[in-house]
Amino acid sequence: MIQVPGVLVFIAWFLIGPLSVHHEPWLPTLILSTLSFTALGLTIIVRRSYRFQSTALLAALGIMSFESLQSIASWLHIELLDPSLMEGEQVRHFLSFFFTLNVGLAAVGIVAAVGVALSLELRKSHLPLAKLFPEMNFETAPPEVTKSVERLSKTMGVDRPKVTLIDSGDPAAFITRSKRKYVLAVSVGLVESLSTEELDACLAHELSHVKNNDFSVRSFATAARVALFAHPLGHLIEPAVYRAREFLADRTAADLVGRGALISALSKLRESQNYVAAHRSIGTACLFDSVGTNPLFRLFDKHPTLEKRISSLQEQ
Amino acid sequence: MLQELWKSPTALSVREFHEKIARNRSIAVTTVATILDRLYRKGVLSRKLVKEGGPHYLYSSRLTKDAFKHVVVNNVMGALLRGFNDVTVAYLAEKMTDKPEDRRIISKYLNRLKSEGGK
Repeated sequence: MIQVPGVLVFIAWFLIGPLSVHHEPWLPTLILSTLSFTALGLTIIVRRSYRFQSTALLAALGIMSFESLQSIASWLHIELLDPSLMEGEQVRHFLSFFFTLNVGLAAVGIVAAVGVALSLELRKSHLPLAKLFPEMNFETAPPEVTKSVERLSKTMGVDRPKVTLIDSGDPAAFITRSKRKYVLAVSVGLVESLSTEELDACLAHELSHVKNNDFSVRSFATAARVALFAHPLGHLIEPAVYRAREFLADRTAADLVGRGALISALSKLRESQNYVAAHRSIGTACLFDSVGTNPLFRLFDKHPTLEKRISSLQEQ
Repeated sequence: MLQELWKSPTALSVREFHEKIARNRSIAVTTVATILDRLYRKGVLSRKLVKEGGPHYLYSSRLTKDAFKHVVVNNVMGALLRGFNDVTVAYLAEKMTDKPEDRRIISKYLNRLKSEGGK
């Protein structure tokens, strides 16, 4: 499902790749570039395994981050890789400007990435839900939903998250970390408009994010994107990782509750999403993700479209 | 959708709304929930959260049918007059002089404007 963005990333890397060979030692850099290039290429070849896709994308981000780290180490005269691979004085002189630029960008990126990681882990996850989402009102979750979450958590082998009810008629659900615990939030609109099976499918999708360690995967992708802020590919790979994990969560949920219930729930949500898209106003523009029709903007979407999620489940 | 609300003597849940509307057109419950939520946010409806029997809202109209018409016309015409003042006034003057009843309404308003202007 990420083939189109994958192909574009592949082409972009082909064009930008040579520019990245601007710091020393250049041969290891070339090897690292080829490795990340291969990892990205694999995401296109292996189409159906979202777990593999996201791992390959993360590997590419990791290798690219290592390249940045290597620039800094090299500037500090610390060789992370074999110094015998170093090129001659002439090449180094020619590339010195790019090398200095790269060291600067890498240093800023790494400091920013550490800041983001600290903010995500130490600050954000400690905040209560009301502070994380000040625009929302939360109510005590009804026993029906709490019991379903308890049952599904047990079956999936994950710790039961806290469950809360969003005081909103707009059908929505999400899982987040608050006060170092997972919190699953469902809106009144979702509970009142889906059947028990469909609601279970949505809850299972959210719990799959915990089962598949998506919070760690996302944190890593975001930190790497910040570290590689000057690298255009970082900005494309991070949302691609998020999207692959959404597809994976759908698969995990479908394996547990059956794909019929999940397809039915997503189809209903797609209809209301299409309604909002057709009756767009300033007030509703931010209600839903992924309502944009321009495929170029979808590259930066962290959520795949409901159409793609449904067809991916149907192809399963 | 509002017609159903004005017809009903009591507040309605999303499912009750859906049942009524789905008789005439194919529509998902989620879409009904979304529309009602938007009408609530726009101040057209009021709602009450009920937790018994599964959490759900009971929606009722904040406006009578006539008051709603007044709000809609006010909003639409207000926007038109703000954005396209000359064209809107010319259009109204042209269209509303077709019927004698409309002409009476216009002359009544013009007379009132004249008397206000004379003060």
